[in-house]
Amino acid sequence: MAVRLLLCVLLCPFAVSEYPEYQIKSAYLEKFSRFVEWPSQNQGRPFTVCVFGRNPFDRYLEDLVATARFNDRPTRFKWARKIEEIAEPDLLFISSSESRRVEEVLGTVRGRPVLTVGDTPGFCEKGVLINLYKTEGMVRFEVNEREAVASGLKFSSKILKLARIVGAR
Amino acid sequence: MTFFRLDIKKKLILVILTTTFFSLLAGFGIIIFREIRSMKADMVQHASVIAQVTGNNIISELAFNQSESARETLERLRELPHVRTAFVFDDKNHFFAEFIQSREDRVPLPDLLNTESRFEGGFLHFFSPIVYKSNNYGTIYLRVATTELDRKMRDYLLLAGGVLAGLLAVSWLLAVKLQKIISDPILHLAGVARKLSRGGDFNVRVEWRGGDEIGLLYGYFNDMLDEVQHRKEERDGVQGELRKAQGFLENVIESMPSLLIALDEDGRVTRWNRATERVTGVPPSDAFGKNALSLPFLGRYCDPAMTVMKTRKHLELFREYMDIGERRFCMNVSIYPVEGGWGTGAVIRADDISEIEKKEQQLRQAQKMETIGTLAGGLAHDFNNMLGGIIGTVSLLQFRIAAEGVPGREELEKQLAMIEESANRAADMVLQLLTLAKKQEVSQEPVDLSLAVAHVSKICASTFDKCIEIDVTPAGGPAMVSGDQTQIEQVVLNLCVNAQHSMTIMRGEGVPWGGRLAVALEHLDADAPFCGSHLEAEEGTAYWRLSVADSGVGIDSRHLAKIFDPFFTTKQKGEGTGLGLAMVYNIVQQHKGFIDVYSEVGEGSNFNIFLPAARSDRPFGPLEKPDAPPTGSGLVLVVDDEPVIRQIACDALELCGYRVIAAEDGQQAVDMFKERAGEIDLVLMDMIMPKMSGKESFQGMKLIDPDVRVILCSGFKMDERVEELMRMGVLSFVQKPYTLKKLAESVQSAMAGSDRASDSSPRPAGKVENRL
Repeated sequence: MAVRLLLCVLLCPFAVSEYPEYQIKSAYLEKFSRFVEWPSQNQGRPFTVCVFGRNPFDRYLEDLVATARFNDRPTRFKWARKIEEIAEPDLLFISSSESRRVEEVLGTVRGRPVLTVGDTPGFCEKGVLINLYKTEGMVRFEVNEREAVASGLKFSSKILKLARIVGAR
Repeated sequence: MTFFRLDIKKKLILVILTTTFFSLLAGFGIIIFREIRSMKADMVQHASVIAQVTGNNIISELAFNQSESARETLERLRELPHVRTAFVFDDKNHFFAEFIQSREDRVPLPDLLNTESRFEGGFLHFFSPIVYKSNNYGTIYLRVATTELDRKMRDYLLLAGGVLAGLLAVSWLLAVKLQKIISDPILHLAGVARKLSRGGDFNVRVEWRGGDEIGLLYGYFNDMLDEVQHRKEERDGVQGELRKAQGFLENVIESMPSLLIALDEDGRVTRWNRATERVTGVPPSDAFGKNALSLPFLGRYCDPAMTVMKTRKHLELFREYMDIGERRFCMNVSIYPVEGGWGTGAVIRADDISEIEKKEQQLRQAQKMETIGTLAGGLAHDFNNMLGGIIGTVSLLQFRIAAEGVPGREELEKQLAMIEESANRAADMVLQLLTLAKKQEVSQEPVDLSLAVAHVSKICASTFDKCIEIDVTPAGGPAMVSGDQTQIEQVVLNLCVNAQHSMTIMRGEGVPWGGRLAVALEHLDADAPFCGSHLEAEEGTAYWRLSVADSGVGIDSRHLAKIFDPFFTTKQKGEGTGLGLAMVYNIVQQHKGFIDVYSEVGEGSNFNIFLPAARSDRPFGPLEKPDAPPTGSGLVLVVDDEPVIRQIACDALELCGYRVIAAEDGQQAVDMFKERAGEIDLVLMDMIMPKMSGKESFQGMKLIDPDVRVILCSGFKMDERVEELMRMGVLSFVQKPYTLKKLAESVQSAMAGSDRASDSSPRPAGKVENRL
């Protein structure tokens, strides 16, 4: 039994001890795009990943965007330091540096199909659709279901099954 | 090979069952194979559904590395007891989560290099990739127990086995019934055939069963029986006839007085008839299969029989003397080659002529005595003269001694010489008589006919009446034949005595005795025309012709056929025995010769004796191929009353290039000559013919054409009558029988002598040649 457990630990790809936290989180961003459905009008244009505020991902997210296709679309990376610069992204990561301006930011995208992601405690309650958190050394996430429905994005049950639901309908 | 010993019923059942079994086995095999494959496919399909559903439920766990949640999801598999183990691997093939039904289902991780689904060790090992929206999230492995499948398969096989056994049982029952359709008629046929071969009654027939091959077979079998029966009847008939014929031949052979012995090619006896048994005293059972050498009487014929088999020419042996038991037999023996399918062989036929021989000897002796008796009359006169000479001289001497005393030496020697001469003459005569009277066996020694003729003519000259003129034409050298000197001399003597009688004692009252006896010897080669008129002659053989001709009373045609019969005579009682010519005939036959006779009442007779010339001695040089006869052209009229002679003459002349017309008698000849006077170049005419003789015909023709050219021919020697005709203008004379060459030469010279009208012209060569 002990051997099997040890084996499990050794084989586990996402062990925090092995990979830097933001490498895992940038990978999570890409995977969210797989289980969320954007309205069809978005399909014709490139997928825009926008980081608002200080970029915690170092180079990981930019590297991933350069190689991977989010939502099976050509993908580009954008870094916005001002609200005006946000424009109309498909996925908006709101850095913890912007905790005070989060509601303002959400106000610009509310009711539009923008997947908002954060990794700051309390963001979800404020209206961010997915918020990452760590527990027992593992990266988990919570989903604001009510806001998600409002945004016009369709969340797969597969993602909802794993998420901590905030603001249930 | 035990299969082939089985009877046909078992064979058919076995064949049907084997066929059925393998057909069913193949059918069931295919069905079971397909069913098992289908069941397996179903099971795989089922596993695939489980894998897909399960995989689908753990996609997000894989995406977000939530193995805890994945394990919970997998835990739902516990409701499916046949799913014993499940492993989930992430997209990098690292172990992610597992499900284990019970403790014994804990197994090592499978090798992901081979993700092909397979049945192994009682489990289905199923691999399925976990894919969502064309992204690969990992692999799920299911280990599903095949217990259910195995149970189903076992049930299925049991069912199939049961059905197979049932079907086989049914087909066995059917086969037992149905094989009879084929086997029964065959067995029936076999039964009939067996009966036929045992009983031989070919009247039975098999019943016709239908139009299939067996029906045809029955038909053919019946046809065959018809044929066999037909042939059997035919054969029985033929065999019966054959037996009858064989029996008949057997009887003929067995009842024959001749001894008949057959030898095979090794000289062993294969037939021995009753006559042979009677003569030899050896029963057939003792003789069969024995070599001829070991049997009495046969031994000496073994080698000749072998020669006959080799040469295939039959052999005749006359007067074979042999001693069998205490008796002495005289036999004529013939040996014939026989050939047949069984090989070659020879048949020896021996005719016992002991009695005939004895009688012949007695006859010969009696004849000899008679001849001597006949001679004695003449002899007595001469002998008396000689004795008279001796006795007269002696008594004269005695008288002179008594009257005048012993005469002088000279006188005495003269008287003694006279006595000696007379005595010597008498002694000579006695010696000749003794030679003739001596009884001798038949021998085959060289005999000179010239000597025989000289010897006999000497006897004749000294014993015959002096009114007989004896004219001898010798051969001009030795004339050798093979035979017995005494017998040949007897032939000549008998003929001469007969000739003498015909000119003396047989003449009628008041007719003066006397005439001419002509004896001649001539050499001739038997050519085709000659053989045509002498059937006994062998073509290509050389003969000596000894002719004895007289100008006596002749023989009329009624008697001519009988002259050689023993005891036939036309002489007065006490003058002849009727044995002379019979002996002549016998002796000539024994010498392989033959006789022909020409005779005319009042004209005389001519006896021609032909004896084969001995090969070693040919006074006229070696026998060459006969020269081609001289040819010519022109129209020849042949006149002869004898159809055979006429035909031969016509053929011969045509062969030489002449055109030929023929007349049967003198009257017809004269008529024809008158009709075609200008055309006919030559007439070949017989001298003695009915209706109109040669002489009268010639005179008739001469009236029509004084220059008519005529050649006369006759069986008689050239005599006064011929000479008379020659003087009248006949060109030449040919004596019958003539050879082709002689006839052709005469005709050619007659044709060439166009100036023959004058009597003074030299006579053609042919005429001279034929003169005595």
